[in-house]
Amino acid sequence: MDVPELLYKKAEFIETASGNKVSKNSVMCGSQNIILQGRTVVLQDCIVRGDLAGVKIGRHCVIGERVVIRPPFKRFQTGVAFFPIHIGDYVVIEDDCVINASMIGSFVHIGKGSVIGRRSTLKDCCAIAPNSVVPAETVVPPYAYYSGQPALYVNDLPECTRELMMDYTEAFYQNFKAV
Amino acid sequence: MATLIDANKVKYLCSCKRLKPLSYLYYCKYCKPFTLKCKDCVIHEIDQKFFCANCFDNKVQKEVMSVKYKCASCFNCPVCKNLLLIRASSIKPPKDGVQSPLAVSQSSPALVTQTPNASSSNPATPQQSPQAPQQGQKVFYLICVFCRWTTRDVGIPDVTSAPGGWKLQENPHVKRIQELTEGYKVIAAREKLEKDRKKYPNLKRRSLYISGSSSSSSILHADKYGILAPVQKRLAATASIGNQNLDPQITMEQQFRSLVKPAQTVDSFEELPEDFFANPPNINSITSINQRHANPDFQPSKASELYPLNKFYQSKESKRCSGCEHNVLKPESNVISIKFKLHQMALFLVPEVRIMTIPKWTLNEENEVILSITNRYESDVTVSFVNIDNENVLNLSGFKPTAKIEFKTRDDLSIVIDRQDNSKVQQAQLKQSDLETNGFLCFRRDNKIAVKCTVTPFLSNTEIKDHVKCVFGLKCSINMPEISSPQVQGSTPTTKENFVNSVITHYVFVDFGPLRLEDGLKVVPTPRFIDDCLKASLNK
Amino acid sequence: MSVQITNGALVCEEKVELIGDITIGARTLIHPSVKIIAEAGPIIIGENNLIEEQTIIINRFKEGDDESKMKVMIIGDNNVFEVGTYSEALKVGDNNIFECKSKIGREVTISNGCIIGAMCSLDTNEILQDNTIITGNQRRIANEKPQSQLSQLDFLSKLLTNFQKFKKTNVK
Repeated sequence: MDVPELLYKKAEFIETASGNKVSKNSVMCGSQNIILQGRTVVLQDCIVRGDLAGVKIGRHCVIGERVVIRPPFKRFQTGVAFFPIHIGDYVVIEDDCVINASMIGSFVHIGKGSVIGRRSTLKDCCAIAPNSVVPAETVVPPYAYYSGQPALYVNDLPECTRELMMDYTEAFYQNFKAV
Repeated sequence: MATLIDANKVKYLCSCKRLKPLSYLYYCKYCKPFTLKCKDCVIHEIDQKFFCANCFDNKVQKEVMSVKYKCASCFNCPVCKNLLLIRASSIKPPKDGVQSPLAVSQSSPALVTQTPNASSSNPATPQQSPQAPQQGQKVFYLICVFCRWTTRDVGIPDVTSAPGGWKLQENPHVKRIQELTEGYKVIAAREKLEKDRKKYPNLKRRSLYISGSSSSSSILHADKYGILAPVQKRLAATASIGNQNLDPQITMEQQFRSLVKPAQTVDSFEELPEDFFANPPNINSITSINQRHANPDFQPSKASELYPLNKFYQSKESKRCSGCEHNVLKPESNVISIKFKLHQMALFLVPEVRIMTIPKWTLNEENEVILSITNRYESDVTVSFVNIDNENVLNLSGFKPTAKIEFKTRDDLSIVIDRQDNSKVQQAQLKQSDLETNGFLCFRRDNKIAVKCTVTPFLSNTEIKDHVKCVFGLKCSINMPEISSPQVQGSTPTTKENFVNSVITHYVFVDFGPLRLEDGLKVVPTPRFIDDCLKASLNK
Repeated sequence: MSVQITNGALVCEEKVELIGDITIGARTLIHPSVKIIAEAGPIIIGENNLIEEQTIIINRFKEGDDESKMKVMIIGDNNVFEVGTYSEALKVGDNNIFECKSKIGREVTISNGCIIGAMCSLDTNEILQDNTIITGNQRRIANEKPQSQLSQLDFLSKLLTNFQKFKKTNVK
């Protein structure tokens, strides 16, 4: 299937100078701590908690509807701290996901409804199946496809994942048009 | 992204007659003409560098073999196969008979942090370690984040130093197995010797005689023409087995018995307890088959015998064409890098066909479908479409088409798909030659075109639950640089690269998905940008 | 029909829906985008609870229930409702952790110290034992109570006052 075309009402989305398209009814707490590198699409009803810690999202990302991006916390001797989240470029996060990861690499695809546990690390070019639970502090290696609850390695992604993800996200952004 | 285009599939024919999506295929440019290879018909080679998937600890093959490919610091939970984390707790000596542990969580073996936990006063935490820990000394235990299984649940004592704390379980039969292997090695050496005796009767006797003396003028040493090299090697191998007595007068059986204790027969053993059949098993205390097989050395049958499983080392693979043995895919040596030194994926050579629209199917009638074709090659590619009728192609792979696809255009029509040009943002616009195809080519932007075709499902009533499948040929004409093999090292490269135009017809097998809405058909309407493209071109 | 927010409780303003007769205890922290709906009776939430985003706590009538009888939903102290939890349970004890996207049906009674794993759903008609851990398709009884989230609560309450607007408290 080729990348679908998505139309949106101009009034419902804000387009920033660097080309990010953010839905107006998504909640961006602490927006001064949230960095979107450019040409990223954030769909409706998302919650990005920049007030807890910094959130850095790369270029050409697609954040689906009702996604919650929440920085993970860690207990220390002196108290508790929230760690910043880094999301790489060309990442597709589908609808209804909960992201507590500390680092998501580039070219990653996270399926619908998944839960990414706190302080987990998803390296470049990996994918998570829909409705899977990635437990806390898991490291997902490159080119791996994890699925299940808890998410375990299932099989490998093709070696051209990087090009495919770049293609998909760029086409998505081009096909995401205002009506 | 292969995960993103799962619903309806377009597959290409590999050289081993299997159908695979284009992103899973490699190409070999040394085979003439270039062939497509899939994961199953390519030779996999493991790289020399091994790494742990969790801690990315690098090791070379020899080091990894000595630790049995197991990472010493990363463990998997035996219950749910998920990662085990190390937690520190420092147990204070009991005050007024109540212990108050301070529990902390920690992510990696290297970092240790602690937080006072005000509300927990847990008299249930057992004092597990044999030597009572000093006041304030930290002890570590493993806990699974997902199912909260801990090493304390099975009675494994807490460890005082985190790295290297949990050793591999030793198989109680290891000694016996080693004894047996050594014994059999000796037997094998003897058998080889006897075989050689039969092969080179004269040589063997002489060399046996001579090897006893340390004279430098022995025939073995004066091996001028290298004939005796294999014999020398064999002698060296057999002689190295710990100075065993190779005297032919002692039989093999006798020698084996002297090295290895015979297995003891057992006359009687414990019978199954009565309540094995009477009482229902307590499911929580019995391991599942998956949990048992995860630890094949021990295969614990009770939940109280579970032990943390070490994570295994992984390595990257390079792939080789089975036909001409040239490398097709070679990853970077840096473990974390996702790039490749050699990246011959079919996606970068063959134009990729994708389904753009799916109509609501009507049986035995022509339904309009739009397919998109993307060119990811470094130069322009010319394509034309071939309707497949003959049976040979269909029998090649066992694919049974249930629909007929037609390209309503003249047979010799060839369309040029440009190469990718990232320098500017492209507008969707048709060329003059495209407009002359009368709507066949309805969209063009950068390296992508979309063509309209008609699909007629001809399913009979009994097969109505089937998918709509069809096959067509995509004739591609590509200018590839000429490969001269073998490539001699150090030769000066020719200043002019010769390009060879190769024309290959790829068979594309398209599976549009279910026929009916009830079976899961998802109708995809024509996107607006197709009409916009036509309008933009007409206006110009 | 009123929402009573005790002094010290922090209820974010953004997208929080509090419908019906709800009492929120002191030092409870409610993140944005939470829905607490008291349809079939009042909801009483204890102290020191942490209710994260997209949580839905709903006291509603089931099919076949007598709609004239109101049932009170009581949630104890020190509980953590992580992102996306859906809870209909009438009685929830203390010190429980409900992980992301878990679902609790109406008939269950959650006691103390339980951990309901991510994406697990509990539809049975039972009283859970103390310190139960439910993950995937298994349940186990743990040896120790889950760790307290008090330190996280304290930290969060300080941090969020900088960024969020809170609803006004009206009960001292």
